[in-house]
Amino acid sequence: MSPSRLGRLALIALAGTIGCSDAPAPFVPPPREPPSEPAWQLTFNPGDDRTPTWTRGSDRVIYSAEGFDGLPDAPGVLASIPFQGGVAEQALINVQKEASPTRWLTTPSVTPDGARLAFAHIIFRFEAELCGISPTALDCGEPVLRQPVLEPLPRPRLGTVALRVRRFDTTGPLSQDPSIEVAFEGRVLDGTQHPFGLPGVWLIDYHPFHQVNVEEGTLVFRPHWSPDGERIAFSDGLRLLVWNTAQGTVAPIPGTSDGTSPAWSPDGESIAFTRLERAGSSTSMCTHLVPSRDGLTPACVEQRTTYTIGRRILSLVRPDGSGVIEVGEGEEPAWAPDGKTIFYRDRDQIWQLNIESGAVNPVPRTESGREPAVSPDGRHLAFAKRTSSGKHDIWIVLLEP
Amino acid sequence: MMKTQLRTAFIILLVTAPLYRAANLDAQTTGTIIGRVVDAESGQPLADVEVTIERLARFTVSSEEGRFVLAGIPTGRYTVRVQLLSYRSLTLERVEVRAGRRTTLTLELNATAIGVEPLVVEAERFALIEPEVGESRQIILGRELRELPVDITQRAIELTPGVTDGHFRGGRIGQETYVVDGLAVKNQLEGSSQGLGLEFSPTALEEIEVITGGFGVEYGSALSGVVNYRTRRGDPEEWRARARLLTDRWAPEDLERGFAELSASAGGPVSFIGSGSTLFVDILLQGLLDADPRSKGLTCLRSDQVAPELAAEIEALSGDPSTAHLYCPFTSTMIPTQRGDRLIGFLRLDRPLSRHANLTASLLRNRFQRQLYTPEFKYNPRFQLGQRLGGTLASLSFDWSKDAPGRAYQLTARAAAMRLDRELGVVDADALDDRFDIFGFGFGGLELLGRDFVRQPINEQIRSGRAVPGYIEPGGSTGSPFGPGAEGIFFTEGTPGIANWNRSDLLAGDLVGALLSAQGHILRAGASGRFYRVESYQRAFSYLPGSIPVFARFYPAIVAGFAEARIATTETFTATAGVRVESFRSGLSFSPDRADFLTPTVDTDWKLAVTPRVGFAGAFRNTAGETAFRFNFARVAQPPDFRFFLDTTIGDSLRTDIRRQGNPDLSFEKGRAFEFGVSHLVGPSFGVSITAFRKELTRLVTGSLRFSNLAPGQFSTGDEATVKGIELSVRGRWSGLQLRGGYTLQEATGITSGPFDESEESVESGGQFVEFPLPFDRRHAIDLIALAGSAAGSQDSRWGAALTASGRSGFPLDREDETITRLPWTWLFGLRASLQLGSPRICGCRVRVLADGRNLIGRDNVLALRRDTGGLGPLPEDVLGAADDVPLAAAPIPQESSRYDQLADLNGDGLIVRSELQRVRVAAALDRNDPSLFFGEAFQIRLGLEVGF
Repeated sequence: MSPSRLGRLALIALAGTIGCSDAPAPFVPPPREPPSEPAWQLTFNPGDDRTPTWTRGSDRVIYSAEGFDGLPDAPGVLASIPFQGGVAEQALINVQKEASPTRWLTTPSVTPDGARLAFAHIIFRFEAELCGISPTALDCGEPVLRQPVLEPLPRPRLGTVALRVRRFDTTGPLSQDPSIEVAFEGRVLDGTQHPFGLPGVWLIDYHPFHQVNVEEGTLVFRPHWSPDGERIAFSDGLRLLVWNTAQGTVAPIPGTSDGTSPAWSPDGESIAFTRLERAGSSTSMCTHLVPSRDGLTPACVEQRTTYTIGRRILSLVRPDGSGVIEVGEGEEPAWAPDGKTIFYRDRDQIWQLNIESGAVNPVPRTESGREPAVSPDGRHLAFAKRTSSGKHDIWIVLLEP
Repeated sequence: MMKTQLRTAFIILLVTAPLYRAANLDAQTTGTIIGRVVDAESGQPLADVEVTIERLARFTVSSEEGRFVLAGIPTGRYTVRVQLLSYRSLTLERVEVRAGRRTTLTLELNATAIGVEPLVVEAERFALIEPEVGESRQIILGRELRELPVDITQRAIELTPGVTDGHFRGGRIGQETYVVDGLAVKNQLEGSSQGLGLEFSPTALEEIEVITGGFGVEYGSALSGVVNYRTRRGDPEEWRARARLLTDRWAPEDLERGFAELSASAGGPVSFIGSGSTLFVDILLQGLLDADPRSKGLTCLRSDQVAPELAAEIEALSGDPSTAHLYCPFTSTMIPTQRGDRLIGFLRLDRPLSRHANLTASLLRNRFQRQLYTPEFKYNPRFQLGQRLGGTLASLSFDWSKDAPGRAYQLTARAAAMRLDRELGVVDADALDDRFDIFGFGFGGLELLGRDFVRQPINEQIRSGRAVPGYIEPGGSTGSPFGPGAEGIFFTEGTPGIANWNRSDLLAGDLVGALLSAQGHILRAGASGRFYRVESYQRAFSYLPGSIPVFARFYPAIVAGFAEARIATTETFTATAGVRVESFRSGLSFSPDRADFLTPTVDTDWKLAVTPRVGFAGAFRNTAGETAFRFNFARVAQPPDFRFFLDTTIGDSLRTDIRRQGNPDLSFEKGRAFEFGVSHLVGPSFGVSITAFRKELTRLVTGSLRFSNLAPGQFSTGDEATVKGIELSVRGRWSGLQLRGGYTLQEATGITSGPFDESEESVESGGQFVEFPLPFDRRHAIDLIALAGSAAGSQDSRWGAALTASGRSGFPLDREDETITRLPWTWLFGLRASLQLGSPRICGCRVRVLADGRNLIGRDNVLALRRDTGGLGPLPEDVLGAADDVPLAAAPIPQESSRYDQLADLNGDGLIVRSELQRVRVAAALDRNDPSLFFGEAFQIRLGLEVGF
């Protein structure tokens, strides 16, 4: 090959190869694969993830997380996460920061227009101990003296909850948002009696909703929007009420005694809820004793009425209180967007009920599930699933058409 | 017949190597012709012989001793006419005159009228020995520079004996000065870390002279060496041009280092400016995908490079399928965050003003910008540290000369303005991505975050209390291969904190007069002034609102005068004596102890240094000039680097944070140097030279805490160092082959390792400080340059090859413990091969194909080791201790957390628990200590084409 030909070839080779490459790319972590299974775990928080609901676009799930990024001690943070999985972020702006780590927000509910979020802010809870200190011995019941009793009886915890409504894009303080306060009955100090010179006698009514709250963590007050986006149905544990956010009024719904966990139907004509049936009651007096130099000294006295829970009845009622229907056993209802199907929990399984046909079927892959929420497009169901540690994670299941 | 021709022709003895001190005794933009004319028959000197340079219309007449001298001749090739009534005239063609050099001619005129062809007289540009030269110097010719496999001239300088890694004969960086066409231009602000700060393209230079001992009094501001750049001048007779494209962008991925270079130069007459005027232009553009390619690229620690505990950890990581992905998660042939480019432009204009006066103007422009790889930001997808270096040097030189029988007068006036800018900060990632570039060369500047803000008046910045715009506190770990396990080890969010810039403006002026006799005596004297405007800005935590930058603006000045006499007692013996008086002031008022606010402010005064120098050189008797000696003694002094006047928050590595308090009252750094050398011409083609030297440096700048008589950590001139050694250099020249090589054996010791020595222990022994080997003390250095074929100047060969080799013994690992071994030897081989293809039909040009190889044997040279471990790997406790950073009560990280990464979820259960986090952190700490920058230059192969017109 002649030199000049070689040169021409070299020129062509250079021109053809130069500039074909670029600087080495930075490290790129492998992408997350979208879920391919019909059910998948959405959250893995070792704390309790509860009360899922959907954004209007069906693309994200909003839930309440016990412990969150930067807020490890928060009892409830409203978080939002893509329904296919990913990074969760706080659902609201400037609500839960490091400065307010113990603020407990839960039971989110998105307005039908997707612009606002109703949720409960648990303002006050009673301590588990009645006297403020842990008694070493109990003297409960008449006439039998039982002492020592090492396991104290469970007591109501719910005190005061604020129901709030906040726009997603609002950045102002929480106090500027519309809100109402809900006080729960069941724990009051009767100051007219002074046994042992004590300031009063605790009158304890351990209602069914207290029991499900203490023992199962059920947040019975659950606010839920009406389809017009003006009213919120909620429960004070003893009945259902409607808060007209436009007018600022609150009114009970007749015929909904012991009604909890309301869910407004898509057509607005009906409210599904759980009625906690009272199976019976018992009353006792307890004197709580604490050690002292003189032996045991009374610390407080409790007059307690315990209501045992019978069935948990899935019920329907019109917003005006008429037309109450008991559908059957079940709780924590959620409407499908077609208005014909109700998803609910019965014991450790989520079921779906066709209102028109009355057919009831378990939703596959929802064992140990509760608090179902159907996506606005009707394609997915989010729910809280109990883990081996007794806490819950959020799961998604694909609903079969 | 032959004898007759020799007798009747003109016998020409050609000795073109400069005489003693020729480099600094002659003007640098012009050269000198000196000679003697005798009668060919009688050998008697001929007086009144007219010697004429035709093109310049310059002439002189010989003295009674037949001697003549023509000074101030612009560089180039000339026809010289020699005539005397009743003698046959003589025409010498292609007499080459080089800048700062002397072409010596001994001529015999014959009265017999015999027709002869004009003789060609060429400078012997590759001298085997130089009996007349008293200094230790190496000259790299422009032709060699154009053939050598080097990208920048600094690499060529490193190939000369006595220079290693920027250290001249064991001195610190910055103990050398740089001379551009006769004008000393030192980077006085950051020369101790950055060298000159200006670069020439190898194709823009006529030659580089590297002097490591015995340099003349004209050169101040130097303790250890002088680099003399002589730039190219346009050919006065015809335009010549060349262009070259060289790249490895064609190479497969494991060979490519992202290098592309376009180099072009052109020079020729510009008669419209004035008769004899010339113009030379040179430009070098380099696009770099990896501005500092290392032999292992982006690498990671291997188990055989670390302590057994870490080796076990590496084995465990790589052997466990659940953690294998955490070991060596990111490697690459190129280091990924080191994009950059380099631009060097040069222009030189020469214009004769009259027969005896010449004006030279030149302009040099540099721009070098690049990202700086920092391991902790390795996984940051947006922000990387970057550096911009910019420099401009404009110079003007006026040479005037007057010839008289047997002597010449010369006056040179030079002036220069130089601006050096260095900026260090965070590269604006968006601007980097959006900028227009070709083959990696960006036409725009590398944008740094907050550049406008940090250039605002300092009071405005402080008053605003703002962070530097764009800077963000570093943090985050998402996006790294270790997820949350990288927290605090890598920063995937935020920016580095450094925002620094320096600007150094210099106005320089020299006035030098010389009287040259035809006998070779020279008397030379001059004065110079250097006036600076220096600005220095440093902000270490730029993302922190309210953090206070350190800023200074001051106006130092240096003035000097010198006188030097060279006496040529015989043809082969010269003696030189000179003295230099130099003074400087920092121009700063300061409080000697900033910690004590009651300390009064002090105005610095002028510091003075007087440095005499003497030297002798010549050939031994009865050796026919084949064996020569030289001796010189010099006291040397230089003003300290101006950076030591200022409080320093960032160390010289630019990536560390070392604090020292500046001292504007520093005095001269001083020293004295001796050397004795012998040269011998072994045969007609081979010369050898051996030089013994000793250099004692005193009053060196140090910030060592060992010197406790000052404010803690304050810079002082209390350090001392001694360098002694032997240099052996050889030069060979055969047909189609040139060879030069050197071996240096030296020992460099000092009290501290440098201005940023952090050691606090006293090494005082018996009331005296003890000198230990300096950290840059390489005992052995070997250099070799071999040129063959057309690279050696052979006109007959189409092939050419230039081979470079350099071997260095390693640095001492521990200064104070000689039992600890040194670093291993490093070896580098480079080769440039070329093939002349002739002239293709498409143009009337010459085309060459080039193949250019660096680190040809692919050696993984280790340039540094960790001083704490003596190896590449970190202390085991530093790595394993990363696991302890995870608190006992650390909350598990669920999959939905922004901190979660499946790479750190070793069992894939969606939850990263403490034990997993601990394991991952150890892997991250291992990766953080990647030894990529411990290795030397990468193996590279480039191909290119060169076209000459």
